[in-house]
Amino acid sequence: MARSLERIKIFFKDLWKWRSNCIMILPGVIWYIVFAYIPIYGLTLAFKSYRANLGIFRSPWVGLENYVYVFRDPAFLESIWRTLFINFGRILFQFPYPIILALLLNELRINRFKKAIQTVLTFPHFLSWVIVASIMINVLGSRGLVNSIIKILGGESINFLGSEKLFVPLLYITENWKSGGWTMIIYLAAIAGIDTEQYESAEIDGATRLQTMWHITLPGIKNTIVVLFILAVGNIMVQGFDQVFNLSNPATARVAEILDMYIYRITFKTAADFSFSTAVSLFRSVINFILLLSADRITKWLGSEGLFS
Amino acid sequence: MEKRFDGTYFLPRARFYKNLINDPDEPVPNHFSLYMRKDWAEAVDFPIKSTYKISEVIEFAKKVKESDPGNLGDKLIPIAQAPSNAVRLFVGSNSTYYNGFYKDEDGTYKWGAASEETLEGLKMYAEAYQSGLLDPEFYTLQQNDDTRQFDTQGIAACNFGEAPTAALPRVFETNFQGNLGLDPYESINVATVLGEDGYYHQQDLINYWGTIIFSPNIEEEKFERWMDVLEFNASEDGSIFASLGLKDVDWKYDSEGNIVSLYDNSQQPLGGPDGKYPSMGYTLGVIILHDDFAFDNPNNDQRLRDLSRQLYTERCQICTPETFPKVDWDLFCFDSPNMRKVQFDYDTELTNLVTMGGDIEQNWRDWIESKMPMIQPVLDELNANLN
Repeated sequence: MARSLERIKIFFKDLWKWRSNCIMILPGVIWYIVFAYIPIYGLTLAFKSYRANLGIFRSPWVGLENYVYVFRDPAFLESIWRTLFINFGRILFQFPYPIILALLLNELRINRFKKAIQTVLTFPHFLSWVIVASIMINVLGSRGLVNSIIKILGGESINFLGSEKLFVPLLYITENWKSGGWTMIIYLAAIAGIDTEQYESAEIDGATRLQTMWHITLPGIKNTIVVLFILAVGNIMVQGFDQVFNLSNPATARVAEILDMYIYRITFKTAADFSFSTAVSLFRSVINFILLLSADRITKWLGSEGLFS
Repeated sequence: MEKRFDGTYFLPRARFYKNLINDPDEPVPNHFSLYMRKDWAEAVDFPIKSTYKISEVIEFAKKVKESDPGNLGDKLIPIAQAPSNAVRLFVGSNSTYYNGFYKDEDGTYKWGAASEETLEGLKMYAEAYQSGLLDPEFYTLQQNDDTRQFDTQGIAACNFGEAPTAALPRVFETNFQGNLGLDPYESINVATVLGEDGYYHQQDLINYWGTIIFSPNIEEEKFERWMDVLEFNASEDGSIFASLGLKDVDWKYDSEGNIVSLYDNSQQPLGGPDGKYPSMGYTLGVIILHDDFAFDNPNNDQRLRDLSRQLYTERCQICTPETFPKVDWDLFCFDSPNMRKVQFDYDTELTNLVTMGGDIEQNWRDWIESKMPMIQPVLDELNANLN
């Protein structure tokens, strides 16, 4: 008992000592408690038959019945496959892009030019996907800028917006355009932390810029790359809803139905069945969790530091 | 409904009351109509009628595309449709139950999307898309974008959309005449679209839109007061007040007892978000909706009121009990976990079958097959419980 009291005393003493830091993290903690931890109880809906008049707490338990319906729907399994396909593609085609941008930008020597390029690359991040989708319609539509140029040059109009084949590449291109510059800032910050003496030594030793980039810069930001990679893999099942929702249309609906679009459809576009939607969401979170842990273990196995002990 | 739910728990707001289109126990026709350019139809020698089959609409669009009577070049859109109304036009006009279940003549319940009529409608939809009669990117259009292409931009030969009596003045006068400067009565023909069997297809619209529900804990005095308000609004005087505004300010009776409008609609609409009375038509106290009064509203041109009545009336005549059936209340109220899982987004899914390319019939068959694991349990339940 006395030991416990001593521990509590130390805890509050530490709390007071680090009060400034605690106050700074307090809003984040509150946010997590209110929006991430308390709603976890809502996940019980996955095992209940939700009745609006009874609410979450009093709705009857139905065990795994909702999962029987989930796995009966071929569109559900299709949406999982599409999510994995599109988002593993993101790892391949999107994840390296900001790293390459940061490495290239780091090599620019004229500071004003470097800042201008950085601003141009970062700006699209502040546009919402609704705006980007409107821009895409105007740029890529049959009467849009790109097709007008193609027609002027004597070519045939290309159906960019309604083509199932072009939809996924369009996702990668627009995401790179919109977010590449923003993510690049994280890598630039990591590059700024590399000891400049290493570059000076390399210069004295006669290393080329490519060799410096490969042997000093890239290893210097390796830990940042690993952490962002683990987080990217951990987000595979939840990435890109805003983008897919705004860029898709009935012509591309089949290839655009990732798991989040499926959840949106069964929740808001048809008769709402919140238990069914929650069952699907929970399943998605479980897969995500497994992927996150797998990525962490794989990076550790490859010799890097992971996120979890 | 009262029998089924064992009491009156809500008050349905009637679409039609004094101006009933059909007998009270018969189905209520919907508002969707085909707006078409009458002047262009005359220019391409296409007959002006009040009803067209879907194939005739396609024929009209093809003629306009060939001749381009409006000299619009590549801006011309023969049939302006967003996906939802495109599905209604090509599939819904041919297949009554394209988006739900129904009891067939053999007494068993079936899924309408799997019917041959639905396939026939889809084939016409695909033909219109592949022939370039629809906007090349019609699937990116939002609700009302298609209407604007017809009545505001003037680049479309026809559009199938909502056409309740109260909306016709906005389409004809505010939008079409206001933006294009053309006489709408000389330039627009409004018609009903029929299936390829020559009959009008539609599920009963049911004669109410929205309901008024009171809290069981409402105070007696407040409830009585609301009943008085509703009773007044359901009366002749109340109906005029709720639809036309104040007597001797917005309207008056002439010496023969006819209602005469004192309000100038051309400057500002009387109701709606930008109107003099923004809440008009939507207030809790309105128990008879403006669909009914629109036929008597002196602010609406008499020609439009007559036209609208004619279209609604014809829909009730050019049909059979199978193509324009009464609501099946047993089916309407049927609920089960399986049933709740089969509420598909038909507009998107059927449009996707058309735009994905390949053979439309094969696309449709594959789609039906992919849905059957969800559909079959519902059909089994319906046939077991309702037969």
